[in-house]
Amino acid sequence: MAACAVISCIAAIYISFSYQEKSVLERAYYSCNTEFTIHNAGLSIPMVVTFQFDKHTGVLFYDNPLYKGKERLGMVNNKIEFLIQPNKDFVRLLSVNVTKMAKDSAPVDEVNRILPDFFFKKGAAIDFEVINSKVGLLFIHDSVPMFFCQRH
Amino acid sequence: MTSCQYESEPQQLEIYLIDGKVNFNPIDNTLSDVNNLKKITIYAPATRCFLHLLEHQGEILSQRDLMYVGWEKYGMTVSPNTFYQNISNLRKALSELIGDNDIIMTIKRSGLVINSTITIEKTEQQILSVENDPSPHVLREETVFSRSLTPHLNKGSGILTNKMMLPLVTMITLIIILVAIFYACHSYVTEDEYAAKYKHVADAADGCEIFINRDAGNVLGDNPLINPKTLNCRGFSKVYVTQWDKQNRFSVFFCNPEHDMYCISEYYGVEHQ
Repeated sequence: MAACAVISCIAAIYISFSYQEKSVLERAYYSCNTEFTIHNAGLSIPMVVTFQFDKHTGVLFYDNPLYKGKERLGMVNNKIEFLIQPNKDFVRLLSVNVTKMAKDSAPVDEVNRILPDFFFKKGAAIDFEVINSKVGLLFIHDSVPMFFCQRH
Repeated sequence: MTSCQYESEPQQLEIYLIDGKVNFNPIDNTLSDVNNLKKITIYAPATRCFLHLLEHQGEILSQRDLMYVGWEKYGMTVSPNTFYQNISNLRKALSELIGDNDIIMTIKRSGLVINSTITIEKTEQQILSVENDPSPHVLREETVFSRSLTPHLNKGSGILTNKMMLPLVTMITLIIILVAIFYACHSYVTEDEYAAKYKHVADAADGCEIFINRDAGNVLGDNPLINPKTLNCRGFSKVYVTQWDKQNRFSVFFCNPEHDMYCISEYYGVEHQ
């Protein structure tokens, strides 16, 4: 009995600490959708992105138009497979595989000017502080919230 | 999850001597060199697979058979990757003990087989039960986790018989578990705590409330995109603006907290990492 109690206590403390150390994204399979528009240097891209997180890995899909002012330059259509690398105060997402999908047609130079590298280049990382809520996750990049990803 | 039961009858412990070099003890899931200088513990499923292979030396056993013996028979379902990882660990343990060897051979597209040229000798040792003998007894292992309990259970009855200890130990255990759970649950910033970082600064003419991060400084009036007179609320009730004095990047979140906190956002300025 005493041995079981000691083991239970150690297990509880261990689980508590490991739970604390793991980011929200790492704990279990998580799938969410987000809508956010990125604006930069006269370009804009309304992003509708589906994220799937599965412990240490994830995948995202998007299929969105790229605009210069009101002119549509083409579509950006990618699937990104990424790794989830937790740090003390943030989570790093590192793209490990980028698949250009059929509709992708936007000029690369313009995409390069507006999208963070993580969203279209292999081997690129982006850091987020992630705030968990009952219905989704808030992703904050370098102190500025970027998007809210609503759980399916 | 874990079940342990004592054997009431004397048991035969079978140790396998493989090629005169390695002892395999399926009871405690160990492989050791003949001089007992090095002992390696392997996982219980790997033990079961290895034992099955040894018992059928020279016979090709399919992955399916071995996955059944190792896991499925015990109610577990695992992927082929887990199976290959266990076999790989088993091979690695054998290599660590006797160097390069071909004890477990892979037959392409068929399965695994124990090399029929190696010798396998079985030795039996009798182990007495705790009721008959105070010497160490056999604890039948149902899962790999039960092994960690063995030394504690073997140590005997001093604590177990002290009934006064039981409520105290239970209470302390519960308190520690509750504290650990509480600590884990409160180790993250919640959405409400995060929203508290914003202050209400204006009501937009279009009907929504505008909030800005408390440490933003006086940036609202400088930014035409978030001017309360011209801001389009897009049907959302709350707008959260995050901006810092010395940064070009800022974001505007349009949220409906009353509808499951649904938010869309506009993010201005991009840094390439």
